Amino acid sequence: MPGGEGGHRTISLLITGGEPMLRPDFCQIWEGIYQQGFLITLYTNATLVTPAVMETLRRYPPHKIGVTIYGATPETYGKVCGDPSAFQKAIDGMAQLQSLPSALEFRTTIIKDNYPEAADIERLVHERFGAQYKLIQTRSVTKAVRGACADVAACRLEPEDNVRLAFRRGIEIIKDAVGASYDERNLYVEHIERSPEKTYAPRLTLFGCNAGMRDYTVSWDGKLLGCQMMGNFAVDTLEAGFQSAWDRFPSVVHLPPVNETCLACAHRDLCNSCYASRYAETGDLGGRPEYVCRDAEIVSQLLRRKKHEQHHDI
Amino acid sequence: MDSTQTPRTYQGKSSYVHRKVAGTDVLISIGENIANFSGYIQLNPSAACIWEALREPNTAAGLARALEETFDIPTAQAEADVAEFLRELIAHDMVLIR
Repeated sequence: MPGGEGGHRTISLLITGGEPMLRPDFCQIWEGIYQQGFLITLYTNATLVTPAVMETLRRYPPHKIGVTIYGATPETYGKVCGDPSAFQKAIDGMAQLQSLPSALEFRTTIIKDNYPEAADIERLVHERFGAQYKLIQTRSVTKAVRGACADVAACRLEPEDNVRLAFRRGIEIIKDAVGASYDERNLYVEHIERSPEKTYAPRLTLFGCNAGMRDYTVSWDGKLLGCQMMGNFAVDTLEAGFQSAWDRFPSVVHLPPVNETCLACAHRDLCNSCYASRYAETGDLGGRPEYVCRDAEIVSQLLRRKKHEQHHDI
Repeated sequence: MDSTQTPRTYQGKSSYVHRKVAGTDVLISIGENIANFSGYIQLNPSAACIWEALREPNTAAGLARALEETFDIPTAQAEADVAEFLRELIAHDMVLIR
Protein backbone atom coordinates (compact mmCIF):
# COMPACT_ATOMS: atom_id res chain seq x y z
CA MET A 1 0.00 0.00 0.00
CA PRO A 2 1.19 3.55 -0.63
CA GLY A 3 3.45 4.73 2.17
CA GLY A 4 6.09 7.40 2.53
CA GLU A 5 6.63 10.22 4.98
CA GLY A 6 3.07 11.50 4.83
CA GLY A 7 1.72 8.01 5.53
CA HIS A 8 -0.50 6.01 3.24
CA ARG A 9 -2.25 8.15 0.66
CA THR A 10 -5.13 5.83 -0.10
CA ILE A 11 -8.31 6.22 1.88
CA SER A 12 -10.88 4.35 -0.23
CA LEU A 13 -10.45 0.85 -1.60
CA LEU A 14 -12.72 -1.12 -3.87
CA ILE A 15 -12.24 -4.87 -3.77
CA THR A 16 -13.63 -6.23 -7.00
CA GLY A 17 -13.00 -8.75 -9.75
CA GLY A 18 -14.20 -10.70 -11.57
CA GLU A 19 -15.47 -12.17 -8.37
CA PRO A 20 -13.20 -11.60 -5.35
CA MET A 21 -14.69 -14.51 -3.37
CA LEU A 22 -13.35 -16.95 -5.96
CA ARG A 23 -10.00 -16.63 -4.24
CA PRO A 24 -9.55 -19.34 -1.62
CA ASP A 25 -7.56 -16.81 0.45
CA PHE A 26 -10.26 -14.13 0.24
CA CYS A 27 -10.82 -14.07 4.04
CA GLN A 28 -7.11 -13.75 4.78
CA ILE A 29 -6.63 -10.94 2.27
CA TRP A 30 -9.75 -9.16 3.50
CA GLU A 31 -8.70 -9.27 7.14
CA GLY A 32 -5.20 -8.02 6.34
CA ILE A 33 -6.42 -5.11 4.26
CA TYR A 34 -9.22 -4.20 6.65
CA GLN A 35 -6.97 -3.82 9.66
CA GLN A 36 -4.91 -1.19 7.86
CA GLY A 37 -7.89 1.18 8.03
CA PHE A 38 -9.53 1.99 4.71
CA LEU A 39 -13.03 2.88 3.64
CA ILE A 40 -13.68 -0.40 1.89
CA THR A 41 -16.24 -1.28 -0.74
CA LEU A 42 -16.77 -4.87 -1.83
CA TYR A 43 -18.25 -5.75 -5.22
CA THR A 44 -19.54 -9.30 -5.47
CA ASN A 45 -22.14 -11.39 -7.26
CA ALA A 46 -23.02 -12.90 -3.83
CA THR A 47 -23.05 -16.51 -5.07
CA LEU A 48 -20.07 -17.59 -2.95
CA VAL A 49 -21.06 -16.24 0.47
CA THR A 50 -19.99 -19.14 2.68
CA PRO A 51 -20.23 -19.27 6.50
CA ALA A 52 -16.47 -18.54 6.65
CA VAL A 53 -16.89 -15.47 4.45
CA MET A 54 -19.78 -14.24 6.60
CA GLU A 55 -17.78 -14.76 9.78
CA THR A 56 -14.96 -12.64 8.34
CA LEU A 57 -17.30 -9.95 7.04
CA ARG A 58 -19.17 -9.81 10.35
CA ARG A 59 -15.91 -9.07 12.14
CA TYR A 60 -14.71 -6.73 9.41
CA PRO A 61 -17.78 -5.38 7.62
CA PRO A 62 -17.21 -3.43 4.40
CA HIS A 63 -18.33 0.18 4.50
CA LYS A 64 -20.26 -0.51 1.34
CA ILE A 65 -21.25 -3.62 -0.61
CA GLY A 66 -22.24 -3.57 -4.25
CA VAL A 67 -24.00 -6.77 -5.29
CA THR A 68 -24.55 -7.51 -8.94
CA ILE A 69 -27.82 -9.11 -9.94
CA TYR A 70 -28.04 -10.52 -13.45
CA GLY A 71 -31.67 -11.53 -13.74
CA ALA A 72 -34.98 -12.02 -11.96
CA THR A 73 -35.28 -15.77 -12.63
CA PRO A 74 -33.09 -18.89 -12.65
CA GLU A 75 -33.67 -19.13 -16.41
CA THR A 76 -32.13 -15.74 -17.03
CA TYR A 77 -29.21 -16.52 -14.73
CA GLY A 78 -28.76 -19.64 -16.83
CA LYS A 79 -28.58 -17.56 -19.99
CA VAL A 80 -26.38 -14.78 -18.61
CA CYS A 81 -24.10 -16.70 -16.25
CA GLY A 82 -24.41 -20.25 -17.56
CA ASP A 83 -25.86 -21.61 -14.30
CA PRO A 84 -29.56 -21.36 -13.35
CA SER A 85 -28.77 -22.38 -9.76
CA ALA A 86 -26.67 -19.23 -9.38
CA PHE A 87 -29.93 -17.26 -9.08
CA GLN A 88 -30.92 -18.79 -5.72
CA LYS A 89 -27.32 -18.75 -4.50
CA ALA A 90 -27.14 -15.05 -5.31
CA ILE A 91 -30.45 -14.24 -3.60
CA ASP A 92 -29.41 -16.19 -0.47
CA GLY A 93 -25.99 -14.55 -0.49
CA MET A 94 -27.51 -11.09 -0.84
CA ALA A 95 -29.85 -11.78 2.09
CA GLN A 96 -26.85 -12.69 4.24
CA LEU A 97 -24.89 -9.64 3.14
CA GLN A 98 -27.91 -7.49 3.95
CA SER A 99 -27.57 -8.53 7.61
CA LEU A 100 -24.22 -6.69 7.84
CA PRO A 101 -24.06 -3.05 8.95
CA SER A 102 -22.63 -2.14 5.54
CA ALA A 103 -24.39 0.16 3.09
CA LEU A 104 -25.83 -2.10 0.42
CA GLU A 105 -26.18 -1.22 -3.23
CA PHE A 106 -27.63 -3.34 -6.03
CA ARG A 107 -26.07 -3.22 -9.46
CA THR A 108 -26.91 -4.77 -12.78
CA THR A 109 -25.64 -4.94 -16.31
CA ILE A 110 -28.33 -5.25 -18.93
CA ILE A 111 -27.44 -7.25 -22.02
CA LYS A 112 -29.59 -8.96 -24.67
CA ASP A 113 -30.26 -12.00 -22.50
CA ASN A 114 -31.70 -10.09 -19.52
CA TYR A 115 -33.09 -7.06 -21.38
CA PRO A 116 -36.70 -8.35 -21.18
CA GLU A 117 -36.27 -8.63 -17.38
CA ALA A 118 -34.77 -5.17 -16.79
CA ALA A 119 -37.86 -3.94 -14.94
CA ASP A 120 -38.35 -7.28 -13.14
CA ILE A 121 -34.84 -7.13 -11.70
CA GLU A 122 -35.60 -3.82 -10.05
CA ARG A 123 -38.95 -5.12 -8.83
CA LEU A 124 -37.26 -8.18 -7.35
CA VAL A 125 -34.75 -6.00 -5.49
CA HIS A 126 -37.53 -3.86 -4.04
CA GLU A 127 -39.82 -6.77 -3.11
CA ARG A 128 -37.14 -9.08 -1.73
CA PHE A 129 -34.77 -6.60 -0.10
CA GLY A 130 -36.67 -3.34 0.34
CA ALA A 131 -37.95 -0.36 -1.63
CA GLN A 132 -35.17 1.83 -0.24
CA TYR A 133 -32.56 0.17 -2.43
CA LYS A 134 -31.62 1.67 -5.73
CA LEU A 135 -30.60 -0.45 -8.65
CA ILE A 136 -27.59 0.93 -10.44
CA GLN A 137 -27.45 0.02 -14.09
CA THR A 138 -24.16 -0.04 -15.96
CA ARG A 139 -24.42 2.61 -18.64
CA SER A 140 -22.65 0.70 -21.39
CA VAL A 141 -20.63 -2.46 -21.83
CA THR A 142 -17.28 -2.39 -23.57
CA LYS A 143 -15.52 -5.34 -25.11
CA ALA A 144 -13.52 -7.69 -22.90
CA VAL A 145 -10.10 -6.50 -21.79
CA ARG A 146 -6.97 -7.84 -20.09
CA GLY A 147 -7.39 -11.40 -21.31
CA ALA A 148 -11.09 -11.81 -20.47
CA CYS A 149 -12.84 -14.02 -22.99
CA ALA A 150 -16.48 -12.94 -23.30
CA ASP A 151 -18.02 -12.31 -26.71
CA VAL A 152 -19.28 -8.92 -25.63
CA ALA A 153 -20.21 -7.71 -29.10
CA ALA A 154 -22.68 -10.60 -29.46
CA CYS A 155 -24.21 -10.14 -25.98
CA ARG A 156 -24.50 -6.43 -25.41
CA LEU A 157 -27.42 -4.25 -26.41
CA GLU A 158 -27.39 -2.21 -29.56
CA PRO A 159 -26.62 1.44 -28.74
CA GLU A 160 -30.24 2.41 -29.54
CA ASP A 161 -31.58 0.01 -26.87
CA ASN A 162 -28.85 1.00 -24.48
CA VAL A 163 -29.68 4.70 -24.70
CA ARG A 164 -33.41 3.98 -24.55
CA LEU A 165 -32.86 1.99 -21.37
CA ALA A 166 -30.79 4.75 -19.77
CA PHE A 167 -33.33 7.43 -20.66
CA ARG A 168 -36.24 5.29 -19.46
CA ARG A 169 -34.49 4.82 -16.14
CA GLY A 170 -33.91 8.55 -15.88
CA ILE A 171 -37.58 9.16 -16.61
CA GLU A 172 -38.65 6.60 -13.97
CA ILE A 173 -36.50 8.40 -11.40
CA ILE A 174 -38.11 11.73 -12.30
CA LYS A 175 -41.55 10.08 -12.17
CA ASP A 176 -40.89 8.76 -8.66
CA ALA A 177 -39.61 12.14 -7.51
CA VAL A 178 -42.56 14.10 -8.95
CA GLY A 179 -45.23 11.70 -7.72
CA ALA A 180 -48.93 11.77 -8.61
CA SER A 181 -48.78 14.99 -10.61
CA TYR A 182 -46.29 13.49 -13.07
CA ASP A 183 -47.33 13.92 -16.69
CA GLU A 184 -44.93 12.71 -19.34
CA ARG A 185 -46.28 15.21 -21.82
CA ASN A 186 -44.67 17.96 -19.76
CA LEU A 187 -41.32 16.26 -19.75
CA TYR A 188 -38.53 17.35 -22.01
CA VAL A 189 -34.78 17.15 -21.90
CA GLU A 190 -32.60 20.18 -22.34
CA HIS A 191 -28.89 20.08 -22.84
CA ILE A 192 -27.10 23.12 -21.50
CA GLU A 193 -24.37 23.89 -24.00
CA ARG A 194 -21.04 24.93 -22.52
CA SER A 195 -18.36 26.84 -24.31
CA PRO A 196 -15.60 24.69 -25.86
CA GLU A 197 -13.12 26.56 -23.61
CA LYS A 198 -14.93 25.24 -20.54
CA THR A 199 -15.67 21.78 -21.92
CA TYR A 200 -12.15 21.12 -23.12
CA ALA A 201 -10.25 23.19 -20.56
CA PRO A 202 -6.73 21.80 -20.03
CA ARG A 203 -6.29 19.67 -16.93
CA LEU A 204 -3.44 17.85 -15.30
CA THR A 205 -4.12 14.26 -16.27
CA LEU A 206 -2.54 11.15 -17.73
CA PHE A 207 -5.51 9.65 -19.54
CA GLY A 208 -8.07 12.48 -19.48
CA CYS A 209 -9.60 11.28 -16.21
CA ASN A 210 -8.42 10.54 -12.68
CA ALA A 211 -6.78 7.23 -13.62
CA GLY A 212 -3.16 7.18 -12.57
CA MET A 213 -3.60 10.57 -10.92
CA ARG A 214 -5.75 9.90 -7.88
CA ASP A 215 -7.21 6.54 -8.84
CA TYR A 216 -5.38 3.33 -9.54
CA THR A 217 -5.92 -0.40 -9.78
CA VAL A 218 -3.77 -3.18 -8.36
CA SER A 219 -4.43 -6.38 -10.29
CA TRP A 220 -4.53 -9.89 -8.79
CA ASP A 221 -0.85 -10.37 -9.71
CA GLY A 222 0.36 -7.18 -8.08
CA LYS A 223 0.50 -4.93 -11.13
CA LEU A 224 -0.29 -1.27 -10.68
CA LEU A 225 -2.54 -0.01 -13.49
CA GLY A 226 -4.00 3.44 -13.99
CA CYS A 227 -7.39 2.00 -14.86
CA GLN A 228 -8.70 -1.54 -14.49
CA MET A 229 -9.69 -1.57 -18.13
CA MET A 230 -6.18 -0.91 -19.38
CA GLY A 231 -3.37 -3.39 -18.90
CA ASN A 232 -1.21 -1.61 -21.49
CA PHE A 233 0.73 0.35 -18.90
CA ALA A 234 1.69 -1.39 -15.70
CA VAL A 235 4.33 -1.35 -12.98
CA ASP A 236 5.00 -4.28 -10.68
CA THR A 237 4.26 -3.38 -7.05
CA LEU A 238 5.81 -6.63 -5.83
CA GLU A 239 9.30 -5.67 -7.03
CA ALA A 240 9.96 -2.51 -5.04
CA GLY A 241 6.75 -1.80 -3.18
CA PHE A 242 3.74 0.32 -3.92
CA GLN A 243 5.26 3.76 -3.46
CA SER A 244 8.05 3.09 -5.93
CA ALA A 245 5.57 1.68 -8.44
CA TRP A 246 3.25 4.66 -7.98
CA ASP A 247 6.11 7.12 -8.49
CA ARG A 248 7.25 5.29 -11.63
CA PHE A 249 3.83 4.79 -13.15
CA PRO A 250 3.53 8.08 -15.13
CA SER A 251 6.86 7.42 -16.84
CA VAL A 252 5.59 4.18 -18.40
CA VAL A 253 2.49 5.77 -19.93
CA HIS A 254 2.94 6.58 -23.61
CA LEU A 255 -0.22 7.57 -25.43
CA PRO A 256 -0.78 8.30 -29.11
CA PRO A 257 -2.64 11.46 -30.07
CA VAL A 258 -6.43 11.17 -30.18
CA ASN A 259 -7.57 10.49 -33.74
CA GLU A 260 -8.66 13.45 -35.84
CA THR A 261 -12.19 12.11 -36.39
CA CYS A 262 -12.91 12.07 -32.64
CA LEU A 263 -11.35 15.50 -32.13
CA ALA A 264 -13.53 17.01 -34.85
CA CYS A 265 -16.71 15.15 -33.85
CA ALA A 266 -19.83 17.26 -33.19
CA HIS A 267 -20.86 14.88 -30.39
CA ARG A 268 -17.51 14.89 -28.63
CA ASP A 269 -18.82 16.76 -25.59
CA LEU A 270 -21.40 14.00 -24.97
CA CYS A 271 -19.16 11.08 -25.84
CA ASN A 272 -18.00 8.57 -23.23
CA SER A 273 -15.03 7.34 -25.22
CA CYS A 274 -11.63 7.38 -23.58
CA TYR A 275 -8.30 5.68 -24.14
CA ALA A 276 -9.59 2.60 -22.32
CA SER A 277 -12.79 2.26 -24.37
CA ARG A 278 -10.94 3.02 -27.61
CA TYR A 279 -8.47 0.28 -26.82
CA ALA A 280 -11.15 -2.19 -25.69
CA GLU A 281 -13.26 -1.58 -28.77
CA THR A 282 -10.60 -1.29 -31.46
CA GLY A 283 -7.37 -2.71 -30.02
CA ASP A 284 -5.83 0.70 -30.69
CA LEU A 285 -5.47 3.42 -28.06
CA GLY A 286 -6.08 6.04 -30.72
CA GLY A 287 -8.83 4.12 -32.54
CA ARG A 288 -12.39 5.21 -33.22
CA PRO A 289 -14.80 3.07 -31.14
CA GLU A 290 -17.77 2.74 -33.45
CA TYR A 291 -20.11 1.37 -30.76
CA VAL A 292 -19.40 4.34 -28.47
CA CYS A 293 -19.75 6.74 -31.43
CA ARG A 294 -23.23 5.46 -32.21
CA ASP A 295 -24.22 5.79 -28.56
CA ALA A 296 -22.93 9.38 -28.37
CA GLU A 297 -24.68 10.29 -31.60
CA ILE A 298 -28.06 9.02 -30.36
CA VAL A 299 -27.65 10.79 -27.01
CA SER A 300 -26.69 13.98 -28.79
CA GLN A 301 -29.69 13.79 -31.12
CA LEU A 302 -32.06 13.22 -28.22
CA LEU A 303 -30.64 15.96 -26.03
CA ARG A 304 -30.37 18.52 -28.77
CA ARG A 305 -33.87 18.12 -30.16
CA LYS A 306 -36.25 20.99 -29.81
CA LYS A 307 -38.89 20.66 -27.13
CA HIS A 308 -41.78 20.03 -29.56
CA GLU A 309 -39.83 17.23 -31.29
CA GLN A 310 -39.19 15.19 -28.19
CA HIS A 311 -42.46 13.40 -27.43
CA HIS A 312 -42.55 9.64 -27.86
CA ASP A 313 -38.88 9.46 -28.81
CA ILE A 314 -37.79 7.36 -25.92
CA MET B 1 -13.58 16.20 42.23
CA ASP B 2 -13.32 14.29 45.50
CA SER B 3 -9.55 13.86 46.07
CA THR B 4 -10.03 10.35 47.46
CA GLN B 5 -11.70 9.16 44.25
CA THR B 6 -9.63 7.38 41.60
CA PRO B 7 -9.56 9.68 38.57
CA ARG B 8 -11.53 8.54 35.56
CA THR B 9 -9.63 6.99 32.74
CA TYR B 10 -10.45 7.26 29.04
CA GLN B 11 -9.47 5.00 26.20
CA GLY B 12 -10.14 5.38 22.50
CA LYS B 13 -12.51 2.71 21.17
CA SER B 14 -11.00 0.13 18.85
CA SER B 15 -13.75 0.87 16.35
CA TYR B 16 -11.55 3.61 14.89
CA VAL B 17 -8.22 3.19 13.13
CA HIS B 18 -5.87 6.17 13.35
CA ARG B 19 -3.91 6.72 10.14
CA LYS B 20 -2.05 9.39 8.34
CA VAL B 21 -3.38 9.96 4.84
CA ALA B 22 -1.08 12.17 2.75
CA GLY B 23 0.16 13.90 5.89
CA THR B 24 -3.27 14.36 7.46
CA ASP B 25 -4.37 12.46 10.57
CA VAL B 26 -7.65 10.65 10.14
CA LEU B 27 -9.76 8.24 12.16
CA ILE B 28 -11.44 5.58 10.02
CA SER B 29 -14.59 4.04 11.43
CA ILE B 30 -14.47 0.24 11.24
CA GLY B 31 -16.29 -2.87 12.45
CA GLU B 32 -19.82 -2.80 13.84
CA ASN B 33 -19.36 0.93 14.35
CA ILE B 34 -20.03 1.60 10.67
CA ALA B 35 -23.73 1.09 11.37
CA ASN B 36 -23.58 4.38 13.32
CA PHE B 37 -20.91 6.20 11.40
CA SER B 38 -19.46 4.99 8.13
CA GLY B 39 -16.71 7.39 7.22
CA TYR B 40 -13.64 9.13 8.51
CA ILE B 41 -12.84 12.05 10.77
CA GLN B 42 -9.99 14.43 10.10
CA LEU B 43 -7.94 15.31 13.19
CA ASN B 44 -5.89 18.43 13.80
CA PRO B 45 -2.43 17.88 15.33
CA SER B 46 -3.65 18.39 18.94
CA ALA B 47 -6.53 15.96 18.49
CA ALA B 48 -4.17 13.42 16.89
CA CYS B 49 -1.81 13.74 19.86
CA ILE B 50 -4.65 13.20 22.34
CA TRP B 51 -6.02 10.23 20.36
CA GLU B 52 -2.58 8.60 20.42
CA ALA B 53 -2.45 9.13 24.19
CA LEU B 54 -5.83 7.40 24.36
CA ARG B 55 -4.40 4.14 22.99
CA GLU B 56 -4.04 3.03 26.63
CA PRO B 57 -6.41 4.06 29.45
CA ASN B 58 -5.40 7.58 30.43
CA THR B 59 -6.67 10.30 32.74
CA ALA B 60 -7.57 13.81 31.63
CA ALA B 61 -4.48 15.03 33.47
CA GLY B 62 -2.31 12.47 31.66
CA LEU B 63 -3.74 13.52 28.32
CA ALA B 64 -3.10 17.17 29.11
CA ARG B 65 0.50 16.34 30.03
CA ALA B 66 1.01 14.61 26.67
CA LEU B 67 -0.36 17.66 24.88
CA GLU B 68 1.70 20.05 26.97
CA GLU B 69 4.91 18.14 26.30
CA THR B 70 4.30 17.72 22.58
CA PHE B 71 3.32 21.29 21.80
CA ASP B 72 5.04 23.16 24.66
CA ILE B 73 1.86 24.97 25.66
CA PRO B 74 0.71 26.24 29.09
CA THR B 75 -0.92 23.62 31.37
CA ALA B 76 -4.21 25.54 31.54
CA GLN B 77 -4.51 25.59 27.74
CA ALA B 78 -3.66 21.88 27.48
CA GLU B 79 -6.31 21.02 30.10
CA ALA B 80 -8.92 23.14 28.32
CA ASP B 81 -8.11 21.54 24.94
CA VAL B 82 -8.32 18.04 26.43
CA ALA B 83 -11.62 18.79 28.16
CA GLU B 84 -13.09 20.10 24.91
CA PHE B 85 -11.92 17.12 22.85
CA LEU B 86 -13.07 14.62 25.47
CA ARG B 87 -16.52 16.21 25.45
CA GLU B 88 -16.68 15.61 21.69
CA LEU B 89 -15.44 12.03 22.00
CA ILE B 90 -17.91 11.20 24.76
CA ALA B 91 -20.80 12.82 22.88
CA HIS B 92 -19.99 10.61 19.87
CA ASP B 93 -19.38 7.47 21.92
CA MET B 94 -15.77 7.18 20.80
CA VAL B 95 -14.12 6.46 24.17
CA LEU B 96 -14.39 3.88 26.93
CA ILE B 97 -14.71 5.50 30.35
CA ARG B 98 -13.68 3.69 33.50
